[in-house]
Formats: sequence, C-alpha cells, structure tokens
Amino acid sequence: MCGPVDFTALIVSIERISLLAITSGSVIVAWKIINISKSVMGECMRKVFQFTTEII
Amino acid sequence: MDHVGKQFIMALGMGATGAVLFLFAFPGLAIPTLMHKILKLPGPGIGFGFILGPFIIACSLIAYGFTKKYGIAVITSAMFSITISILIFILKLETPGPGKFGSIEFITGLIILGLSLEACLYLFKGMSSFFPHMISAIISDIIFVSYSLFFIFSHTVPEKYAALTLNKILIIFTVSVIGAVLFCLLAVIVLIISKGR
Repeated sequence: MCGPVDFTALIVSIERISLLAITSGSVIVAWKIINISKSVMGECMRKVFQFTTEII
Repeated sequence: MDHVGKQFIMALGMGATGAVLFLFAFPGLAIPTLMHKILKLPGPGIGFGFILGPFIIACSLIAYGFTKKYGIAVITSAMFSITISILIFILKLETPGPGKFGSIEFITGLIILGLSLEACLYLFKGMSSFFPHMISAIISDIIFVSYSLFFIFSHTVPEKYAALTLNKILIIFTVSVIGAVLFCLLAVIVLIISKGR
C-alpha cells in the first residue's frame, strides 16, 4: 500500500472511525443501563410485593 | 435451518459486514497516507500487515469465537475478500493501486490468511483462551504479509520491492505483529462484551 497519498481521505477515515467508536460505545452503555435498570426495577417490585403481602 | 447452516450464514455475514466496515472506515488512500506520510514507515506491504490483515483476522476470530467451529475463519475471510472486491468493482471505489484490491492475487492472499489462521487455531486448540488467538493472529498475519510481498508488491512496485533491506523487512514484520496483537485484543473485547461475560 504505497504510492500516492490523500490527507482528506485520512481525515474522513479518522472521523468515521470516531463515529463508529462513539456509536458502538453508546449502544453498549445504553444496553448495560437497560439491563441494570431491569434488575433494579425487578428487585423494587419484589420488595413492594413482599411488603404488600405482609400488610395484607 | 439447522445449527451448522446458521453458523455458516453467520460466518458469511461477518465477512460481508467486515468488508463494508473496512471500506467505510478506510476510504481511498487513507491507509498509505497514514503509514507512509504520517507514521513515516517503510513500504511496501506495511498497510496490509498493520491494518488489512489484522482487521480480517479480528473478523474471523469474532466469528470463530461465537461458533467455535473449524472452517469458520476461512469462510469469513473468503467472504470478506469477495465482498470487498464486488463493492470496489460496483461502486468504482478508489483503492491503493499497489495493493491490487479485488484482483485474483488479492482474493487468494485473503483466503491464504484465513487458511493459516484456521491451521493455527487448530494447532493451538489445547491452550488457554487468549494466547492461541494471539499467536494464531501473529503467525497468519506474517504469512499474509510475506505472500503479499512476494506475489503482489513484487509485481506492482518492483522498484520499492527491490529496495527492501533487512531493516525495512524487520520494521514491516514488527509493525505487522503489533497490528495483529492490537486487533486480536479488539476481537477479544468485542467477544467479551457480546457474550456479556
């Protein structure tokens, strides 16, 4: 891969790699947050249910 | 569809996706500009060794990591080479001339890369999880760079090929090893995140 060079292509490449990294990173973080919130919500619901049944 | 069919489709999908991602992430002459103008590294073949070869290795390792079946790495790299050749031909994309992207020599080189990766994964199958992947990536990348130097760059840039010295070859191989290790780490990270371990 030697021969002519193109700095514009390199800048576009850096932009696109950054875009891919940010997008995939955001998707992963969003996925983790959804999973954590699901388990936290599940635990809260269980506590509420337990508390309600104890009162009844 | 049976289990083997799904794994086959997954390898094909991984190869095709990898090719599209590669063309998206490294348009035109981005790789030679980075290698020879920014990093001031000697050529020819260092772009193949540092980026193209390790990128395909990472795609193949990810597909292999999901399926754990032999033959997946070859299918992934073959699909990668065919997809990239078709896309370059249809979309008339600009590629670095000396690399002969889309040619028979290029496709053969990528299939040899997949075959060598496959052979290495088979040889190191008894070892722990990360090191066989890394050693396989390094060996197959070195084989790919050697093939490219002998069968592609010796024809396309004979004057630069003739000017290769032992120091330049050592630099090309060392940088290729670094690329293989980095992309192998990337593949392992992707596998860990995807499997949620």
